[in-house]
Amino acid sequence: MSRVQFWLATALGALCLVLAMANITLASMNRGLQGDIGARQQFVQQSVQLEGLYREIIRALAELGARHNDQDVRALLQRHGITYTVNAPATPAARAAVPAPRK
Amino acid sequence: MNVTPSSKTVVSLPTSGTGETPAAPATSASAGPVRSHSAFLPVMLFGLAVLAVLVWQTWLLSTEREALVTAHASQQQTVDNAGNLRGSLDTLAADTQRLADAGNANAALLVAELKKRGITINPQAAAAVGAAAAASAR
Repeated sequence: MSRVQFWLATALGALCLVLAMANITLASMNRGLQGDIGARQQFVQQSVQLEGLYREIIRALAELGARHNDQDVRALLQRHGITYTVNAPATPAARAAVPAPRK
Repeated sequence: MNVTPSSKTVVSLPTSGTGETPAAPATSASAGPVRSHSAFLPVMLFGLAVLAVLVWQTWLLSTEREALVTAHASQQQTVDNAGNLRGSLDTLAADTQRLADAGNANAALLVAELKKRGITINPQAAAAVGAAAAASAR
């Protein structure tokens, strides 16, 4: 093996070694990223389930607050950016005040 | 150089001056000349094959990494929203629990209803969990 051949084979071996190390690093990083993505996906899926509970709590608090005219509950919801209005029930007097449609 | 059919046998050997070459020994007659081969060609072929496999694998891993980074980035908005939702839920639940502890009947009713369904609220832990959820979502 001549001197040129020796250095050519050595360079090829070194290149293979560098590529092998790069592959190991890339594979390890990809595995870590896959785990991270899986954990985030699980976090999102659990949060979707919690969203139903969140809406249910808000609805229950609003109904209780409106039914009993609870100012503390109303203030609590307002602190979270939620406001509600209570529609006055239709009374017979109010119905009588509405003009009858003309024929 | 006469061979006479007499009782005395005379065998004459060829002399070196006749130009005839002696026969080669039997052992060396079947084998050809020994040629030495360099290891360079097989080593290079093997190295090139390994190099090709490694380059292909690097390309595959790089492509996979690009896809993973894209997926990770596309998740970010959803994860942020989920973290905000969890934080809101935790603070709302903690505030409701505090209101119930302060004696509000409606809040106490809601807390009791949640407890029936297996949901207990810890106001101290709720704030910490909300902060941790928001941090883990980053």
